[in-house]
Amino acid sequence: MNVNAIQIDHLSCFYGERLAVNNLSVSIQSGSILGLIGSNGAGKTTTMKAIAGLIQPTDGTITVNGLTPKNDALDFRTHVAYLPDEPQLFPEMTVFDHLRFFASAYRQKFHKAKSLAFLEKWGLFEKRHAPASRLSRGMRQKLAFCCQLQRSPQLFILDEPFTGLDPHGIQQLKETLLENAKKGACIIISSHLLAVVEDLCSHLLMLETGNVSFFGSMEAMRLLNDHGHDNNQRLEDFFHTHPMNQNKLVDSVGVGS
Amino acid sequence: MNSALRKLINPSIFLLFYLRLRGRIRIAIELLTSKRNRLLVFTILAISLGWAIQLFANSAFRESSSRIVIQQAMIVLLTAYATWPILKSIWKRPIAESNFSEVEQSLICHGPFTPTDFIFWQLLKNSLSVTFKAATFAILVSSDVHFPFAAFLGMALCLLCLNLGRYAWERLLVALPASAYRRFQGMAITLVSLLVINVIPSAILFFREASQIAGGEFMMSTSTILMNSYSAIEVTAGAPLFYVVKPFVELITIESGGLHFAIKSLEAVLLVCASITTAWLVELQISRGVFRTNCDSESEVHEFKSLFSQLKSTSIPYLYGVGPIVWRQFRRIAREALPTTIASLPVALLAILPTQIGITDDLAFVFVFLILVLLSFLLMPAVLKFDFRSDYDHLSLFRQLAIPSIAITLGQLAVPVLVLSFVQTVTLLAVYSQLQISFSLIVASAILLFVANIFVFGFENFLYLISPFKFEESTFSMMLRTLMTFSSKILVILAVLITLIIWMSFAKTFSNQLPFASFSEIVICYSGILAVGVFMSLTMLYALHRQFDKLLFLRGC
Repeated sequence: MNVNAIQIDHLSCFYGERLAVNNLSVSIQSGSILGLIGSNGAGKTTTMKAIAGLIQPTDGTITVNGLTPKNDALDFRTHVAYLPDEPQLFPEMTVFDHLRFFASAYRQKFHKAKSLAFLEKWGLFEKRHAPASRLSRGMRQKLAFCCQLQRSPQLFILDEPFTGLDPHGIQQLKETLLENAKKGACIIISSHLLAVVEDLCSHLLMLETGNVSFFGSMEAMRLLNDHGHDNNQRLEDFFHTHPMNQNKLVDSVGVGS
Repeated sequence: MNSALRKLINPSIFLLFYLRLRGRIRIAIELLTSKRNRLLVFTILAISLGWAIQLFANSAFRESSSRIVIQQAMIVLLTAYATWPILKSIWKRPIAESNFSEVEQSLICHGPFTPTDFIFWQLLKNSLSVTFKAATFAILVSSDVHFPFAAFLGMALCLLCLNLGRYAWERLLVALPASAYRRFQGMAITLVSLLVINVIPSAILFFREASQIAGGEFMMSTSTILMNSYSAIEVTAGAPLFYVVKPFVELITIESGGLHFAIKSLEAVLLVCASITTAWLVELQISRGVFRTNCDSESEVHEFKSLFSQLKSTSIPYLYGVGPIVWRQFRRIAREALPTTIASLPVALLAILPTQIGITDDLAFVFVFLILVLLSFLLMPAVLKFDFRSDYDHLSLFRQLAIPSIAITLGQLAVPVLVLSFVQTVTLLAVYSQLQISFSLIVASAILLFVANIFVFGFENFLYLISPFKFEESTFSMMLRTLMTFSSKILVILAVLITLIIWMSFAKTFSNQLPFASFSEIVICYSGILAVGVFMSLTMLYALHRQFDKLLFLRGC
């Protein structure tokens, strides 16, 4: 049975007087992959940070599997994995040490053989003794993701996760995310690679200057095209042609439907 | 018990400390494979050895001081150490990165950790530098105290207590909304101004009386300064810190062991526990969202209205590429105009002080000039970091600019040099209004100081570019860097002084062979110093721009 994994009600974030996110209310079911798209400065990262509990919203509530970032901070963080656009790693620590630390931080048993196999899978085995400072951008991205993946969180929030990855890495990441979604994890991805988002995501949230301009399933997006009958409209066309004032769709399409 | 401890503190905190330390040691060893780095490390080791020998010699061959003097000195110094971050926070609001680096913020602050874990992480981070400082201190005062171990323990606990206090204070200020911080700033500035208005006239009066008693030949003895500072701290706003520091000082200077030592140690440990509890409470309040930290604090950037907003509309002169760089740094300093002014005021006030203590005008001016030089060299570069040192994240960006590296170097140094020269010139003009001296002396001094400032900032940036880093409080590596920078500065001051003495004696000999001897001596002396200063500054600029080039080449960015 699908249940709402994430419930966001009237979320608003202001930076001083500047509006970043305005009155966002959505709910996402477990097993969904939500693509978050919008122009630069549309409020994608702020929304993601607020959902991850990294910033305190000015107004509204966020619940992930019944947990709130304010009242159940520790449990909340255990359930949520946030990967920022710039992967954050301890520069002096080796690839292998990172996996060891993350396992320990989330109070999980560390299996050396399993971790090595994990690194092998992600093409980091050769670099297992190299400090993070000597890894390429793509490798750092992979390592940051591996650190989060090994603890099997229920919600992944990934900000531009495909940046710096080679085609093989992108494919591998897509497969891994689909695999995790099948297992019941909820995934939120922000990306400007609209083709990837279209392939991967089951739902779409489009933001424009902090306001929701579309929220619904991919099928709903394909139905809503300029001619009203083209079911094969690509996300890219939709993004470029969609007028900002289609907020009505949020109500009509519904949540996670 | 082990399980209870694991429940209280996440074991990964200890693991992280160990893994990071191991990683740093490994990288440091790997660095030794390069010839250039080996040379650098050996130079650093030689300087450290020099300090260590000086330290041992100092403690072994000097006369032991009385207990009361040691106590007074310790209380004055430790109170100053504790007060400095509070004063600093008045003009410059601490940033989140001062206690947690960007990575730590992302992986620790936003990780599965409790406020208790944060405090233990801070304790672990501080442990190395605290141990090092306390051990150095124990060696330094070994001839003055009865139990060097008690001195080590007392100092270590005191530093832990004060560092945690500073941590709690800064976390609180970081978490406060912008409006609350501005209210704090206003209140603190009023308090400090009242204190200064109260203390300075008494200090001037005291110095004048003392100089009259001494028949004009005024010399301040260390014990007099100590005694008066001690009394000032005890009866003024420093009193709360005085009572925090005192138990540690009593442990440091303890005269009998056994039960007395146990009680004093317990007292010190309890104070550390109180500091831990305070920091923990602050963290707890932050984690509960009592302070609205995130959205509001970021808003400051957007709320800020520049004092020099008219600059936005004007076009920027190119000036061989120097213009845009200067303009950018100028915008940054304009944004921090108030904190920079507040930070520069003590330097100007301290420099003017000799004009009020009743010594001859010539001698007073010499003191003013020396104070300006010393403070400019030792203190001001830390305040005016509007150069490469504040651009760690943008070093690679500079390479992409179609501007020659020498222009970038000049542009980066221009603003701090000009600002410091402005502060010095204003101070000199204020001194001129107080003393009966020639105006040409003021002009000559201002020119000399300007040339010296280029060297000072060039040198500071040169050391920084050898191995750039992000500024971080209270870490062992940061402490070592500060120590090395300071040692290098002292060495440079010594070299400059020796050169000056040699040149002055040469000028005296040479001028004797010329007519108008006394005038010629001054002119020759000044011209020589200026020529050497210009040469050194130009050399430093060249070296700095070469270092900037090399750095980019080595990093391959």
